[in-house]
Amino acid sequence: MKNNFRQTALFAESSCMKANRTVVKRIAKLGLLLMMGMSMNADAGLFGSGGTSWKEEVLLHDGQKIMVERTQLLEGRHEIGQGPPIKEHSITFTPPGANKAITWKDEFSADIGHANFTLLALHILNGVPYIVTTPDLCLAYNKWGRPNPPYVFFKYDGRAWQRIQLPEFPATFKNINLIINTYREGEIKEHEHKTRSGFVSAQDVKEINSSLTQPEYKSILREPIKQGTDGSSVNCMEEVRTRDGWLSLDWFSDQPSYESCLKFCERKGVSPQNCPCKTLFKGAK
Amino acid sequence: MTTAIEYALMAGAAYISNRDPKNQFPVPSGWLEVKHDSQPSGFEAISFINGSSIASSSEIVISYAGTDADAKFFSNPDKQADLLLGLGYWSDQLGQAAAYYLEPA
Repeated sequence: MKNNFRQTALFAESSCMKANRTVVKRIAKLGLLLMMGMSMNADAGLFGSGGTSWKEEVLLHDGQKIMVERTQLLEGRHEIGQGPPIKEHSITFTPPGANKAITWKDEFSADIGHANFTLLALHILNGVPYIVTTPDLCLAYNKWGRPNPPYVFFKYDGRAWQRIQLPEFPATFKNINLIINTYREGEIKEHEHKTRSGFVSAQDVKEINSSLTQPEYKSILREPIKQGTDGSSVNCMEEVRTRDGWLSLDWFSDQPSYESCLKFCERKGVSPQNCPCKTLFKGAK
Repeated sequence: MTTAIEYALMAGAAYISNRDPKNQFPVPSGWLEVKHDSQPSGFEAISFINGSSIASSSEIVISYAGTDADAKFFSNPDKQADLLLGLGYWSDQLGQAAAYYLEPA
């Protein structure tokens, strides 16, 4: 009887343990589901809002002022403690005397992991809009051909935006007149609220940009920036686009011969037009 | 002998692809940065040599960038790598780190 009782007690304990395990499993499952739900909610809260937009007053080279609307979405890989990069952004405006709005847009580019450019200036000459940008971070700087001064210029031809080179960009345009962002959305919103009509004034654009020390952000330069100039994109390492990623130029220049350099290009999936061997081993072939 | 400060600077200098040139770490005096590698898996590494070439250097320091943050798990290869490596599984970044170690010299 005693034995039976003990067995029963053991059985009861075992049942209780089984029941506990089931409860623990259920709690774990519930916890996992809750975590997934919270994670999805956090995502929607942070990035599901469709980004930020604001209005900005732009001072043109002839003293005229126009209103532009800018939008941007920050999203993507970033270091801990830093904000995400610009995934896409746009600027919309109506040139003086025109009745149709024009939009310039820069979208996500998988080869660099974010949008291509940082907006610097908008100018209009004889009804033709021009935009000045700088490649956003070093991979984009390499992707866009390492321009020095580090600008990529666009001209609106009436139908689409075309990239133009520095000599085609009117010399009369000298001012950086857009907010160089752009990880300062709080600051932008603060200035926007300063004016009752809810836009960032041209004076405030100047003030926001004044903290930046890079020479390419001070005015539109027409001369190359010296290598080693503090903070400038021109200091970015020279990189070559491979099948999926980027490799610095010395991977190729350190190859013992032109032939091995070509083999290295092939192995890394570098396209013939991007393979730097011909330039690096000039005269070898 | 390489100092702790030099190692710290070289550790920080691996962050290139996602960092503004203004905020990139300087290379310690007497060292040269070579062999930068940046992959869509999130892998990023660079080496430092204390000579004018790898062959003439007595020391090579390899600096691997840490995984990046992003709230979106499914679009962030770094977070996926963190999870896989944390659970003891294979990750592309692990393979690329091993391959990188074997390549520069």
